[in-house]
Amino acid sequence: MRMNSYYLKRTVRAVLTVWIVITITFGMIRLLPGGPLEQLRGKLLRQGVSPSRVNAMIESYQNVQPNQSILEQYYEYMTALLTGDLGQSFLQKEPVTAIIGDALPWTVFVMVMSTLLIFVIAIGWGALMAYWEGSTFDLVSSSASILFAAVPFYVLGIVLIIVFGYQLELLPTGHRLSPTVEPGLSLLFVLDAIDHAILPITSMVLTGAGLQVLAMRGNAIQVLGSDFVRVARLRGLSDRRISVRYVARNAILPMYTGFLTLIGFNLGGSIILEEVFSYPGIGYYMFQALEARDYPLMMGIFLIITVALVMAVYIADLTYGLIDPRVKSGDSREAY
Amino acid sequence: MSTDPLLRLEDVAVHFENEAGLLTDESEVVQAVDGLSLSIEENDVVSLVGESGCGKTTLGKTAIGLQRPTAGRVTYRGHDIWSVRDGESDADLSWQEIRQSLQIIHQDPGSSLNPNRRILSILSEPLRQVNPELGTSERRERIYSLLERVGMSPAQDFADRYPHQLSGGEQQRVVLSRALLMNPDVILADEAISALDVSLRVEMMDLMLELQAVFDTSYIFISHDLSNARYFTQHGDGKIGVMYLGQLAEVGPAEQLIEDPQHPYTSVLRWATPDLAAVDTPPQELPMRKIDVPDPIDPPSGCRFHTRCPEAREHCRQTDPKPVPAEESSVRCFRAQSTSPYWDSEPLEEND
Repeated sequence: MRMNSYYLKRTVRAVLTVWIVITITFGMIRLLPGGPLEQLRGKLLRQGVSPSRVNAMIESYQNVQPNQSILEQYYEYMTALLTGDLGQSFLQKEPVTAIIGDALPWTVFVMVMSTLLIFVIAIGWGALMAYWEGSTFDLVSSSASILFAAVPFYVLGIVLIIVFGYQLELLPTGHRLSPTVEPGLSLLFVLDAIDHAILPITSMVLTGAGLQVLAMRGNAIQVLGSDFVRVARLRGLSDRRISVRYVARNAILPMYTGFLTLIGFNLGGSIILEEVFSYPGIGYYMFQALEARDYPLMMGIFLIITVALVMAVYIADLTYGLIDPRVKSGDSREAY
Repeated sequence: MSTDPLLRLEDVAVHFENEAGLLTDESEVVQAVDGLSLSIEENDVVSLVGESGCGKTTLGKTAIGLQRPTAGRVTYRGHDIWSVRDGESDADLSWQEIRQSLQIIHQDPGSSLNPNRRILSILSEPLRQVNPELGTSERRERIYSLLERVGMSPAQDFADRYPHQLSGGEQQRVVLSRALLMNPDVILADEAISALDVSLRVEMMDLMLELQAVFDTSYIFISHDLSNARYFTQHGDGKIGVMYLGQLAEVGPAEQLIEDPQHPYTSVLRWATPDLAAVDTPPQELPMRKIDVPDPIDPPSGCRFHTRCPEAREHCRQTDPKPVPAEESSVRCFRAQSTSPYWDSEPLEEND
């Protein structure tokens, strides 16, 4: 019974968060002075479009009838969202859902790969540092971790483009595929996609891993110092068994929620990353939408990023009990 | 060979060096244990009592080979355990065997158990190590019967739980069971009952002694509470060792040591333990000149207790008394020697 109410509470909270975000964006865009629709109207009128046509266009762009009351508009907007209609992009002259549908898989690919690599490196490297705590290896690694963590990923990205793209000409400087390669289930496609993703992923991983490495190191040192590890050593268990069965599992557990939420945060970080690498994922389109004041597209992508983050936290909350037995009996842990 | 005690510490010293820091230019040496000898027999109980920081835990850890002594020898059945460890001994036993026969129970049972494993798998581990030929169901049977024995029934229910689902007393029973399943010769119980409710302490001590007979093991029982140490030692028919600043002030059978303390420090400890003191002596002034423990980095000259000892005389400040072994006990005080320059020397002034 307790457990059920826990899941129920989490679910309600996730739905509520998404709803609040939608409502706030809806309100903000309409309340801002010189909002997008005014902007668009002015632009179209300057271009010499007739006022009645302008109204019709705005209506189709945003599922909005300008002469309706704000509540009616809100109702229309919400029903449209629930049926999966995010409106029409001003810029691309395409439905927002189509643009997101095309771009999202690429962003998810880059970001999930980056986050996975960050955690694989963090767990392995951090564990080694903890194991050799105080050694030169530990010292050098700690300094390097802090150094890399202090570099913004877009700065590293530009450096990588200059070095590997322009000077060494080893890797492409942008775009998600070569012009000649068609998406499909071919080896060529896969290799080309990886080729284009290496630099963005590298810049995310190198700058993102530092803090996680240090977190893992701290966790592992704490576990290594606990009595149950000492007793296991004393029983003469092999180092291998101790490091896997006793240390690794207890040190990795606290990082699990961090892992899921980082995926969510990184989707938001894609805006700058994909602009630097001219990588047409959702972040790239978000940036274009910002520049062109393409509000439907902007809101659509904003919504996707928010939902992704909320889902990540939600999944973390729901699954933590499965991997850490302590959560089941009450002292619950929450990601956020 | 058979005359060798199970475990013997010969003139053992453990010194820790504080490395010179930014502000201090000289490194300091903490004498945690200094020139101490003790032996533990099969099925023995040795309790160590003393103030915080007197070296009880360091001595215990040295005895079970967790801490390397800076001087002296620790022998297990006559073999120096550290030369076995370094491969310099021709003894026909391995470090692994020694390691497994000397086990420990920590004070905090909660942190001694891996939070991510069920009791069954926690207890399976030592069994798998000691009896690799056992099948899964046999192992399970043994664990169930041991759990029943330590008073955790229904065993199947407890075996299926995680450590955090047990009470502190139950956790400590699991820890004890896990140590016993290694079939050790010596278990170091480092304040093993201090974290438990007072009502559970006696029960836990009884359980430890009951299982001692079954598993044929010895205990080194570390406690800061003289009355617990007395109970445990008395029922286990062993010795109490009173430690002061890294040395054994007095060793003897429980009853003798408490009824007729030879060392002034033992009297002080007895005075400080309410349920022991109240019996025959009315409450009185602190039988000690100073409350503060001297710095173990720079221990007092002569007898280490002379700065606080109510009976101290000039001789105590100059000369360090050697332990005087009697039949079953040993006292490190001039007052236990009928002929000593102590008796002719002047008492120390109050403010010394």
